[in-house]
Amino acid sequence: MVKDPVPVHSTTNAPPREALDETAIYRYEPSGILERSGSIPVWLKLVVFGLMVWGMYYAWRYAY
Amino acid sequence: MAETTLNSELVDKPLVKAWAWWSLVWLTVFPFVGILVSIQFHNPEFLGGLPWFTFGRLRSVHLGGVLFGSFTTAFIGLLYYFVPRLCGTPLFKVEWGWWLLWIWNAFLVLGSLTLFMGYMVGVEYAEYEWPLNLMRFVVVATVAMQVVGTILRRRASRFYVSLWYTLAAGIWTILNLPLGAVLLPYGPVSGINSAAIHGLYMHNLVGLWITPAGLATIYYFLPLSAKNALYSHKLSLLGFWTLALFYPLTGTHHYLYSPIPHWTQTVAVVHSLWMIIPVITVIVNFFGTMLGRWGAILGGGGGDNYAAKFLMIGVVYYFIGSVQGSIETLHRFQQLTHFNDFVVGHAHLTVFGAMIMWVVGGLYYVWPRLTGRQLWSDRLASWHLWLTITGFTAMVLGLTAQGFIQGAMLDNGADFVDSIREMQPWWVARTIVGTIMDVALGFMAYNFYKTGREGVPVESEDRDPLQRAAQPMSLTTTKNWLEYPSTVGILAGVVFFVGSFFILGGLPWLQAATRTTMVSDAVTGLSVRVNQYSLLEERGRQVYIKDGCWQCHSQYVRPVTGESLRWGPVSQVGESAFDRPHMFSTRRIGPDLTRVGRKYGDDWHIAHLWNPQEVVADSIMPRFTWLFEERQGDAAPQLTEDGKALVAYLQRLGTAIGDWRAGSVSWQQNSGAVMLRGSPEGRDAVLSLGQAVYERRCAGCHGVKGDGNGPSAKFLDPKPRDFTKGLFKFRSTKGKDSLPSDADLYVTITHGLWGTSMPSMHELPDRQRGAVIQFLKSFSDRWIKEPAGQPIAIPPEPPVTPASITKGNALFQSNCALCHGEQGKADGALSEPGMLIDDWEHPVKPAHLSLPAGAPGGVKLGHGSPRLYQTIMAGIGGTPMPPFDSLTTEEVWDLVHFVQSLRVTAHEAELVAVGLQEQNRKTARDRIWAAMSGGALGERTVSAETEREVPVGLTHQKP
Repeated sequence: MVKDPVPVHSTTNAPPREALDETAIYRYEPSGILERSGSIPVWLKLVVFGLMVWGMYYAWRYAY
Repeated sequence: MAETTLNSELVDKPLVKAWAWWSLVWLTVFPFVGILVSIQFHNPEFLGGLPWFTFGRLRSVHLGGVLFGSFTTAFIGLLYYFVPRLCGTPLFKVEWGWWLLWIWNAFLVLGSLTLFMGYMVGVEYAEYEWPLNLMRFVVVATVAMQVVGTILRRRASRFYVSLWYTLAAGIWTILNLPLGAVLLPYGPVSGINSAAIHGLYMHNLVGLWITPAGLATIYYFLPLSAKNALYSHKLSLLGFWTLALFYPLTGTHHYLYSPIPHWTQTVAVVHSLWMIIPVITVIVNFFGTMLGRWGAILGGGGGDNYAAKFLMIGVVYYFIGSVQGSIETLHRFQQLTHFNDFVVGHAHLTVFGAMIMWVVGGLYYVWPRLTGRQLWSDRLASWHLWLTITGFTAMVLGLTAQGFIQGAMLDNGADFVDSIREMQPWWVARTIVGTIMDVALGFMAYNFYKTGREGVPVESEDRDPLQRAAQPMSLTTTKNWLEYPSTVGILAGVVFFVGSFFILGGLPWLQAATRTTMVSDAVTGLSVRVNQYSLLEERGRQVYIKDGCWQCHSQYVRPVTGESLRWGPVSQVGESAFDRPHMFSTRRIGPDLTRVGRKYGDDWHIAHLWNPQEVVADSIMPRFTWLFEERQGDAAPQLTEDGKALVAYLQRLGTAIGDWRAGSVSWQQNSGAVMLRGSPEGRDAVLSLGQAVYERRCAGCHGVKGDGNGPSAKFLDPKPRDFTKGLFKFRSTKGKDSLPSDADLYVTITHGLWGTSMPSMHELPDRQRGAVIQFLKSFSDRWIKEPAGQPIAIPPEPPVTPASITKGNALFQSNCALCHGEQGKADGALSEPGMLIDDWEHPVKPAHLSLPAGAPGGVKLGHGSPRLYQTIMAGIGGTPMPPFDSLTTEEVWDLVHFVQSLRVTAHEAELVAVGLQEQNRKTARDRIWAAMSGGALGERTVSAETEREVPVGLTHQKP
């Protein structure tokens, strides 16, 4: 069970998206699925950046 | 249960239940077919002789069955459950679902039956014939239409991530299925363009159908079964859009190092690499969703907890399989792992380990809700889970290890058959663990059956406190444009797909060079035309497709891992110009067949098709007895018309680039004599190795007693050598029927005898070739009583001149024409059947001296100057061809040059017939001469400019 004290927003009480922080939880009706706004971890951003660089190097290295 | 019961009437439970029931059936049946396939790896005689169950057909049934039967049936059932709930409205045209169920099942049953019967179009993952494809398309398109209709009528304001994936998967697959079902088998693309588009189709099926469908499933059921909020909406967005952007551009990685334009291969590799981004993203999202819930889930029972367990074990396998998939596309990595069981391990990790696990998790979640009963047995569910983990992990570890072992062996020059032999115990293990996996699925089906019959009724649904706080919906929430249905459907679904098709399929096709029907002749380096298949060859190609030969044999030689030394010259673009669909294949359970044409005589193929293990003891090829007429008494079985056509097709393969064998480095290797020296222990070791090699490679034809009466001998003409007589045809030693040197035997084994059933054994390690020479000498006491003959010295070759050829012609007419004919066409007066008999009392026919390498009836060891010189001086042992050692050195060279001129003239005519341009004739002639004669090089017919263009390995071979 979710013990998170963070308020749960549904379509009736949802504030504008820009007002939601990453801990905000949204509920989809009628399925009952809950979803955090969440964030993208910094380390994952670094992985993305690293892979993009590696991919471009690889494309250059093996272009022909 | 965590799910709200609000609007429970949204779902047509009987319909979902019916789809779920059938998914249980297909989840059990099609993996079981995989077990039958697996058994045939280590027991190729299993179900042998039955065309319906030959490996090539069974594998197609397994592949198509798991993708469309096991996975897709379950997914459609689950989709009918979650799409209405996510949209807040009943499924659009829900009543169609019943019709679709029966059409779908009919497709699976009829599709499998027709594959068993051999109705296959030869496109991997799209083997079904068009009526079945039509049925499949109708169902998938109609389901997609139901999804779109439901989304358009939705009452829920926000568009959950499961719907993004479901909508996109439907659109992608509607666009993708016609590629495999229409464009590849019937469209205007052939050859490398066919392969390029096939790579797209094949990977789109995995990446744009079952992957997004699987992700849609877990995104819906994980938060509900784990009773926790999805970790991050932002990660959902990143994961979806990077998958939509990268996955459509990965397909060509299936054909790296093929003649497909290199730049498209690199594009595919880079995007495959970038696929790590969406994979890690969704993994983080799923693990994040489980935070704080691990203990309750792992320790808990019931449908929801087991759903979460299966979903998360699928996440683990998805991570391993996907990262593995990205890495195995890297060039050096793929050199080792492509074509072998590493790729099979990867495919199972993603398809079974992830996607099947996710729909299984979904089924565990919905089944109690559909039946209104709690899961019948937690213990059985636990057995299902742990048998799956145990069996599947063992399978994947084994397949991965196999891939590395076989890849390393081949990379280090091992014989291909040796690498197959090494796989045997691993394949036995795979059958065992695969059976465990299927038993586990059977437990699931039984548990579900008992749940429906005897499960404890659900009295009330214990609802999450958060659920009780649910509020009525409104349509006012702000949304990100990236999650609009229109953005998902049009940009991700249509634009990205069409863009990827244009980049990896359209652009290469627009390059005229990819559609050429010209190739570079292997000997001259000049451009010649590839001929259409003859009617007989085309019929053989259809047999090749029908019996699924392409499931085990690839048809492209890569320029890596020594493949050009193993199989022959690297594949050229134009060689497959008339292959529609292409036959590149993605597996090498048997050797590559690109250059198999003329490697063996027709009789070898006949013997091999009748019983492969009699010819090559370690072969795992099934018998193809249905390609033979009914046997008459003890006579050797005769091929049917289909069988003859198949052999004709095989003999055509790889010959479009001309007489490449004449100049291949591998075939021309020589070595010094291999002598049996050293201690008795050392001799025993050599003989023991030689015996092992002999029994595996030679006994099928030559017999275990060395008497030339192996089980395949009845098919062969000329008959295999009887070693007990100690007579050998091809020698470099003086005197009639002299014993050959070890080097002579080494040459014969390495080179093979062209046009006969004696193949080149150049793949065998030197050590094995040396050892088997010592062993076969043990069959005759001549080797004890007589020394080897004195070697014939080969004096320097004089220049090839018109005068030399003319004098050679005169000598030929007086010494050779009686048997070989005036023009060396084996039509002399003594060439009639029965007129010439060898010492083994078999009729012999003189060699036709102008035929290309490997053509039946031609010269057996090539037209190279030293070889012809030795043959003239030594004669051919045990046959009416005597030594002509009374001729002077100059006269022998003249004869050699005349015989070579016969082949040069014929070769030139062959090139002219396939489009050699008139202005290139002299260059072609010069290069043909240069390839066979040191005297031609010494003279000058090859200009400095053209000589540089002669491919490495095609110039003069030193003896």
